Amino acid sequence: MSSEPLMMRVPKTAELVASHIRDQIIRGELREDDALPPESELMAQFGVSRPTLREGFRILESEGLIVVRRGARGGARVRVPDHAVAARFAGLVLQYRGATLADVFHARTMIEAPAARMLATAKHRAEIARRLQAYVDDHALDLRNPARAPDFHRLVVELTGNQTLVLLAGMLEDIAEAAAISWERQNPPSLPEAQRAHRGHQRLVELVRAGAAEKAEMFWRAHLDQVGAVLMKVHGGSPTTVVDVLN
Amino acid sequence: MAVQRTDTNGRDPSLSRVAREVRVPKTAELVAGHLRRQIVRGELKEGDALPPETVLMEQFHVSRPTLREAFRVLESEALITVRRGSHGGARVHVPNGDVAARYAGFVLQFRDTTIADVLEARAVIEPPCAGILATRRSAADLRKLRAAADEADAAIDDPNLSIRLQQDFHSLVVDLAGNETVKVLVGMLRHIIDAATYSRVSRDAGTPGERTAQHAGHRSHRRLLDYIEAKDAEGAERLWRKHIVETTAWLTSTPTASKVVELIN
Repeated sequence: MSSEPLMMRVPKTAELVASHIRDQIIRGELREDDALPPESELMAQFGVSRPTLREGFRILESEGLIVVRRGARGGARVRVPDHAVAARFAGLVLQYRGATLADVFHARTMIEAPAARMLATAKHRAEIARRLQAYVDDHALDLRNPARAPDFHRLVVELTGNQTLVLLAGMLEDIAEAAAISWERQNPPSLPEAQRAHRGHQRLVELVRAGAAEKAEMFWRAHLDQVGAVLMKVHGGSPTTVVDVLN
Repeated sequence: MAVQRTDTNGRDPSLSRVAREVRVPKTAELVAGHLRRQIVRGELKEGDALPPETVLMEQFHVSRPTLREAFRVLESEALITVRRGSHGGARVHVPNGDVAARYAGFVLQFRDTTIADVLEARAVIEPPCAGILATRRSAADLRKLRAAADEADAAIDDPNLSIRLQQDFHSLVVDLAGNETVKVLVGMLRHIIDAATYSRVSRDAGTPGERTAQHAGHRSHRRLLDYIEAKDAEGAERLWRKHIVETTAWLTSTPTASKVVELIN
């Protein structure tokens, strides 16, 4: 793959230094925004030269695990692995491959419809329904200023408790969110549209509470397809690819 | 149940995290945005050298520090590498699924995610791909699948090779289903699922348990071919779900590791 020529140029010691610091970050021994020790100290600790240490820093920077600031208050600071950055890396790949919004919305339905089923079959579904209901109540429709309740979809996936699905669905939600923002610039949500969305959320809460797995999945699939169809409507230069909405 | 809200709220999606957090001057972010667009739109190619700094400074009407700040943003996104010295300068790297997969791996390790969690996610995503493929498959798709299954069958007596070919068959099902986004997402999990599978097979190679699991896998792959040939989407999806659930059960019984962080470090 294309990253390989890059990796092969990197001196092995720099890679080892980067790997050592990376492990400390991933294992939580270094925290968000922690400053790494001064260069001279790290050079002594690893027994490496300044250029090698800096090469190690560059590897970690390109992996999004540290930022290096210049100037008086400069130095390397830790950035712990983060969902938003993962979404950004994935978004770049989808843009580059020319993925369409239709493709992204389809993938989103493939993940989030089964998530609704998982909620309805969960042992603690009463508690899950209570959490969903609290979100719906907190985002009660303001008739004068209809707005979407953007995080309901994320909450559905989060409540499955599956961290991997949260990570993957989060990437798609970010793109869906960008598409919604771009769509609404031209088409402010109408009251009936907002009402339909809110009714849909309420309906899902009820299906989860009732433990109606099959119905919850089918209903959520239909809801997602409908939302996707609205956002994909070609309308006065509306975006059709990921590269259109993320740029 | 821990619910992560911090990633999703209160951020400006038009700025990269580096830009948001270190408050990169807006001009640097604009310059980075311009170059990023050229890269993702394919106007700049893998390995291309960016023009010399002086040329870019003039083109964007920015100072050297601002331009370098823009370079740092792009470096943090793995879109360029900057080398020092006489052959120095910034070179372009097109967005790469491996970079994204690697970072996703960091997130899962950092969150102490279990391998069972990753396998559960896979059991959600892969079965619908089999259904979609059954609906839309072409004669050429069928030939590719059959060739992949034949190759795996021929290697049945070599546990480590056989399991690699079986994993390739899974990837092929996802690829031929044709959804680019799902390909990228499953690609992000692939190295974790592969590592879990290979380490288990390698530890147990030749034992009755491993032999039974491999033979069951081969049979399921053959049956999937039948459903796909018959364009039976429902049957294909049902079978693929059952196969993946059974595989997961085998992988998570006496696993070689239970956390992603133990597996890929």
